[in-house]
Amino acid sequence: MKIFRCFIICSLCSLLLTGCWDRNEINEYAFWIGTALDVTESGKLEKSAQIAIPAEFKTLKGSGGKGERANIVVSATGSSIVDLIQQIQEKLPRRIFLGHRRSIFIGEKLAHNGLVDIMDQFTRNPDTRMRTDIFVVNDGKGKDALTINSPFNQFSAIVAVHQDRYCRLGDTSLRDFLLDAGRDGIRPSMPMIDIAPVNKLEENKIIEVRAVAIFNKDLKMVGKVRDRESLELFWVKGVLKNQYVSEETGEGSISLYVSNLKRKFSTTIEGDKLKVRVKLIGNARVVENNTPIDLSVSSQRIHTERKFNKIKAQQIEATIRKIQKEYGQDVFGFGEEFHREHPKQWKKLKAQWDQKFPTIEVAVDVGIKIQSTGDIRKRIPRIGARE
Amino acid sequence: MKISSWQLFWILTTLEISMSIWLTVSPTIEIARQDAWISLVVAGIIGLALSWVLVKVSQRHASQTLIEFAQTLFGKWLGKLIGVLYLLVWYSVCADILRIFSLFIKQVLFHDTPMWIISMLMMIAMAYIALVGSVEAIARFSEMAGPLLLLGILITFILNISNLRLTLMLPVFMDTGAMSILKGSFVNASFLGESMMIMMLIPFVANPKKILKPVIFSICIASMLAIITAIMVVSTFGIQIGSTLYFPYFSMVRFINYLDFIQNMDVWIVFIWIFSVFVKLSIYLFINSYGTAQLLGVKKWRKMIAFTAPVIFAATLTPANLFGLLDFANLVWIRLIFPIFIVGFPIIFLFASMIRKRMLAAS
Repeated sequence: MKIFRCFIICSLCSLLLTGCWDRNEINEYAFWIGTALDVTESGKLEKSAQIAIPAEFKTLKGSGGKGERANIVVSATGSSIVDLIQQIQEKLPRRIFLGHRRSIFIGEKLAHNGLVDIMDQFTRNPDTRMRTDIFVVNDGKGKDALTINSPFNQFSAIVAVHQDRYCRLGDTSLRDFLLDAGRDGIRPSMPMIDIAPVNKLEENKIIEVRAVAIFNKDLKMVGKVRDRESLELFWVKGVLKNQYVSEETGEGSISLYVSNLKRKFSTTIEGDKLKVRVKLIGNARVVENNTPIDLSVSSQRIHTERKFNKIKAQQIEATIRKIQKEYGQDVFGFGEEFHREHPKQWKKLKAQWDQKFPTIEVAVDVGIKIQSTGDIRKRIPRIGARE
Repeated sequence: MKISSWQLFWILTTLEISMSIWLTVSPTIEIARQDAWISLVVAGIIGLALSWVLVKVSQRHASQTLIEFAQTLFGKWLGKLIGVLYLLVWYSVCADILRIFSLFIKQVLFHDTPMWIISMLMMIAMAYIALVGSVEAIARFSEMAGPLLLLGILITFILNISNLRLTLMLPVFMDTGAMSILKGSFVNASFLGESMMIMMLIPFVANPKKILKPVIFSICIASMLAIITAIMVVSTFGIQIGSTLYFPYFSMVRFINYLDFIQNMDVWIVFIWIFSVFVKLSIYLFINSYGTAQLLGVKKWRKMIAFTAPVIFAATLTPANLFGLLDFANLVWIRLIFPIFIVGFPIIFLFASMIRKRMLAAS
């Protein structure tokens, strides 16, 4: 027993006599909210960080807002990402804390150069979290996205996450990107943001999420699709949850709010020919009707529905063909469906997937179902009705 | 110093879960890819079969520990040799787990704290519970820690549902084939084989005849959780990321973000996990001390803690880094300890014991 007491006392002493290595008060931390990565003129890597300044939170709320930013953007240039973390740390009086980083912005130039070298760190570094949003900045530098001063939130990095409703990937888009990058039958895609001002009011305040960047196998950006086409891309990929669809039906335009979007692929291999049938479905609510059609009458509604779906299917087919022809990257994951349905043939197909993808025959079938005509049945006479 | 058979259940469940979902999932995904869950089902079946053998062996010598019944079966010297070998295994496992535990805590919580401080704090707690309460206190502690651990893991599973992409599980079987699936199952099966410690614990169980059900049950729960973890990890991170993560379950917990306010659950999970590792380590410390005492003929086994604790602590500090430890799991535990000490010897014990009984009956 005596030996034991001795042992315990000794060990207790050794604990009490030493310092505390990992003591960190919260006010000694610099919270890193957003990262931007760019490539400089000379080909070096530039990293910028959006760092929170907690003291500014109060003044903004208390004094009705002086328009001061509660964050500071610091940048550094160098050759590897972690080397840059050291440089950024040297510019800050507090210890960097990466655990709260919400998004990463990548300059378009860097995206074209390829992301292979920067991706490792995001999964390896135990201080970072994989739950992060990631964007390519359209025609610009990632750094500029960090200096946006949104009136909705102090941090443009957080605004971007909230605004990523485009594909509703939100903060899982880094995971999704890495997931796609690691698979054979799909090529990664990533939401893009626009920061170029459209008018004076929006200047330096608004970011737009309205395009998607397409990457190839080596994680090099090869192209982008915008607006309607990018929504269609994400619908076919199966990540879009809802959207507004507006089409000219010949008798006027109809706008629908379509939710519960789903997609289903079925694949066939006939000799050398690969075929994919894409079935897209969704539940719609009519939000605008500029046609004389009374959508509450079933016969008319079904007719319009069919017409609408047909137009939409043609558009989506055109988009898919465009991506096949212009970029040749399987961002939809058709390959993964072949993998699932024809696992044996896939073993041969996967090596030459980039060559095969542009030759696939794709047939799109859209099945949007109008489930509600909104608050009114037919249009109120004289308000918009063409008589 | 007796424990009930359901206390045995909680001890086994707690210590099986703590390492099997932490360490075996990503090696299995690496070999069996998206069919890791099938591998783990196979592993569970292997684990159940092994446990059945272990229980039968133990029940035949219910009043003796392994150290004693090896001597009754094979004579004094051969029996002692077997005892020494088993103790070597348990010493090394104990040191290995203590090391993994300390490195993990260092990696996720305390970057700058020296590893030995973390190990030493754990060792002091282990020595205390083994010294003062011995197996009974550990059993009671696991009755508290076990349900807490199960609850914590279940909550994380439920919260992770929204992150799942079940299509990542497909196609089933076609990519891997039977050989990879079988090969992948050994990792988890060997970890489930840790239940071989019942051969040491059996004299302390109040009703040794009734241990089969609790032991089988605990193996079922542990392998069930491993299967669910594998499915969750594969369909959250895919096979590429899932197979390269050191601690995939932990990464998955870090990934949870439910309604934007339930996040960073990793702290809670580590907290509960420390309890279960504590159960595991202290039961190993107890077995080692008790076994060494029996082997050397020391009457007061508690004195042996003064020997075992420093030895294990010193062994903990020897390997250089995390790789050495995972190599231990891959090279020593799966290739040597699993076939010899978990599969081979217990079966030999079973046959030897049956033959001996027949010979005694004949004479």
